[in-house]
Amino acid sequence: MNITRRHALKIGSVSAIIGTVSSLSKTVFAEWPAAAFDTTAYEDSYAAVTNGVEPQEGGVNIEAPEIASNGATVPVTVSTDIENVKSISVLVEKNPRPYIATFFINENIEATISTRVKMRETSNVVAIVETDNGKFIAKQSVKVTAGGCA
Amino acid sequence: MDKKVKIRATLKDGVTTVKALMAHPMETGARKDKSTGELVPAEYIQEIVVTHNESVVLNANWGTGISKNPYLSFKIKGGAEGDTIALTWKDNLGESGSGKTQIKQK
Repeated sequence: MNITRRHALKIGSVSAIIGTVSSLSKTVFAEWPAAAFDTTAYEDSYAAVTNGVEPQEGGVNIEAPEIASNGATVPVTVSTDIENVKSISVLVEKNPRPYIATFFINENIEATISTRVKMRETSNVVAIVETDNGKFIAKQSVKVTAGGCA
Repeated sequence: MDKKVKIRATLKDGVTTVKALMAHPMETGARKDKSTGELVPAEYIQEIVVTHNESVVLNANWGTGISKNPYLSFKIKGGAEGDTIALTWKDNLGESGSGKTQIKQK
């Protein structure tokens, strides 16, 4: 009895959400780039994110701990003063799948994104910022003392 | 209730800070269940959409490298008290979750 009721509630809430999402997904969810996220070598992940445009160094700031005691949750903030930012991507060089995420922002969002990432081992965290005037890159080393399953 | 997104938006000095916390396992598909020795299937959020009064201001593509129970924070230029900020996520299994809040003046 209890199970059926919970089940029914679950189905109810899920279908309500699916309703809103499917109406959203047609307009706003972009195509998720499976091939890029499946890359396992950093060079391939880097190539997928930069997509033939070699990024310049400078202008991008990464805030991350120098030493992370728990690789499962490493706080990372990427920010930039460069104008007309279209997207901010985050990579971790030595993760099994180095491409972590891309955030697409419009002109109403300040170019500062904070999130938490998994890190298997000590590695560079890499941020690549895409703007109207090319791409920009920054790296910061994070020492991981207990790796998170990335 | 596991599909809820905790979200907060605070306006201060003309800038709205949004903080969101999603309840999600973010399984990579490469982790072994210690009791059975079998791989735990991949289950991770792939897409995020954030709207400000119904218009999209941020979206994101995620891989498996975002931590469990993902956290996301960003800042909106402007915004007014009472404006609606909503976040929706979709994972690799087709599940989704969402949350919304009203901007509060600090």
